[in-house]
Amino acid sequence: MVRILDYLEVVDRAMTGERIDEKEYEMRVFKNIQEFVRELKIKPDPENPVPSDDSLADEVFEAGLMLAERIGAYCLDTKRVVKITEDEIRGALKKIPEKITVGAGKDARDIVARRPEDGKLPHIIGAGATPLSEDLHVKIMYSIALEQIDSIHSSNMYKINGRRIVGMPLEVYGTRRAIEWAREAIRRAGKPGMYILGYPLNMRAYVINSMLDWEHIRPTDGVCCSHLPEGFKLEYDVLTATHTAHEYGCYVFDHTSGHVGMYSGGPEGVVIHNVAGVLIGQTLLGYDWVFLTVIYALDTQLNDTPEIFWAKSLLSQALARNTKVKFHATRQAGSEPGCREWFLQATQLVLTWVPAGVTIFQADGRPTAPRRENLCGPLESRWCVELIRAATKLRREEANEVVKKISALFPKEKLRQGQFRGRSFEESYDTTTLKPKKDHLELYENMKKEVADLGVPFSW
Amino acid sequence: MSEGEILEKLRQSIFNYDAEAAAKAANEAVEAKIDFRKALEVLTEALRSLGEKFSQGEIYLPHLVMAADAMERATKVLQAIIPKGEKIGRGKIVIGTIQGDIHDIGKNIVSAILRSAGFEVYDLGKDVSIERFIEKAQEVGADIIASSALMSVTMPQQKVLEDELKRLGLKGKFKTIVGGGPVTQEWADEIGANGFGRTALDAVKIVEKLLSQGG
Repeated sequence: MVRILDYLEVVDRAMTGERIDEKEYEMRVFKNIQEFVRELKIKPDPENPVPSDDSLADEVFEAGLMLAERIGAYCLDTKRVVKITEDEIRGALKKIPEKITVGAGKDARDIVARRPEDGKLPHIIGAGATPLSEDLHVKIMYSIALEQIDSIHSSNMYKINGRRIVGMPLEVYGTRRAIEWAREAIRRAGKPGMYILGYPLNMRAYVINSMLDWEHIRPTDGVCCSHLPEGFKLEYDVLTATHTAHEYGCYVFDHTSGHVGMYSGGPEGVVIHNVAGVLIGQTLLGYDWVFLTVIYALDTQLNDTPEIFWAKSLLSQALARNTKVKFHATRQAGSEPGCREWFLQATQLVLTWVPAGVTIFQADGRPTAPRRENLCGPLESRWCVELIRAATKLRREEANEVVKKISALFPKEKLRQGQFRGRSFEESYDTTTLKPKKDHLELYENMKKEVADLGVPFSW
Repeated sequence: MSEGEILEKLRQSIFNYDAEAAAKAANEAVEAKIDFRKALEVLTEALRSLGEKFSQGEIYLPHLVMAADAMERATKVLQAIIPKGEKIGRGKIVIGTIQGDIHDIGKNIVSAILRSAGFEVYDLGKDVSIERFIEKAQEVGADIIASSALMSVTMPQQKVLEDELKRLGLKGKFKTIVGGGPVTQEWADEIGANGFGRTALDAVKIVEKLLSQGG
């Protein structure tokens, strides 16, 4: 953890900053973003979902930096604005190291900042990261841990010991079990030191803090303590948990600040908004990395359009060209795993982010909004790993062409029809041997041929 | 100024998201003794049209919020000429993100869309206790209680709300709708909610359907 502002200084500012209503803060965010969008005259370019305009990436970065200075964070508990200066932001950026090392022993990995069209592989996180059933939790995580991944993201669940999880006692209990099960899975896979990215069932301080002990999250692991959108909203709970996790010594990660359709406005605004969010988080809380999603808040089925890909890719390029921030993107799309659409949308997302300089990519099966259990498996992670390797060989222009070809198969009307239903783990895999069923494996191989024909250079 | 010109000013104040202009035009409507029904119709129609634009991605949530604020300012002024007891809204909805959940994006969208469709919306914010939902619904004489849950671990609170309404004998008085990332029709059926929306845009249709069914 590297931070420019002392924890107590942040607390002081949260207690003494300008006092305004949450709504006023949100409208400030919106109006400032719109101003930058007008000044820069930027709009989404659906013809170039993976843009190659370096100067645009730099312009939106600078706009994001100015936005960060103008809006600051907002403390929900005190209703005060937590301001930061441009010098503090630039100072925080200078302090970010080129690499961080996660995990332990032979399973330790360096996470190194990447640039657009960087030949280096991003760090690959295999994941559940979606609700898993109790009976299959360890099995699914183990099957994913066996893949060629660098680290693993813990999963969540609807129930624990047959009880629906609700309220602090079960949130803490369930969160601790999820981490134990992730650790059990990596041990069984022969990767006991693998980095676990711990995701609490609730972001309250008491839940997060309950993860911080040697049997659960170790100092070589990481934990999510995220601010809230829109803008950069802080709760005392998050402030407390972030500091406690940093004192404990583990890595701490944050989430996205804005969504399309909300106070960012359109996809062009969301890029500036999220750059600002990343910079506020780095300056105030010294996050070790940031998990970036760009979604259309109005209707998740419209997340997979060329305009949204453009925003994701431009955001990635803006950060990769101008900072050493470690940022994390995911394959999550509207489709469930186990169907043709899932493979195609996964391809689009990997090609949108990886040639654009993303540092960490989450190789998982989860749809954007999972509505049932066990929507992931090892082949889904393997697909992403194979694609990521191929994507590091692609220039942005080449990736752009593939993404466009796939988008032609998904007109908006089709995306609006709803989530593409796929298959759960138990439908795609033998739950005893954990091997893929014949038809699932065939689909995988067929999709690999289809996507290779679109111009993706798999190593086979 | 003619009635048509004043009504046009009211309409434009909504399209320009201008609360000051809305209040001014409403004052002019009061002074000109324009039928309050006509004025409200113009405001509602303008807001509904913006709701359509929002659903098409042509405008964004803050636009709807500003337009609804302008509508509220105008309606407050028009209250002076609305006879007491006259029903002016399409229905009253109490909405909030359920207890334990601080994610309010989806709820904010639903709230704005319902307001734009002419419903009287009481937005309680996030992490709303079951007691607060019920207390507010009783206070304002709500037709519907709408709750949102983004996390699977907070979703069960929607059932607690249903159970509490039943326990208090209020289930017949208030209809309930549920939504949020992990929420499904099956969940709504399981807990006994009256309606479920997969997306924020479903909310208006569900509310209209429930209100048309009456008590």
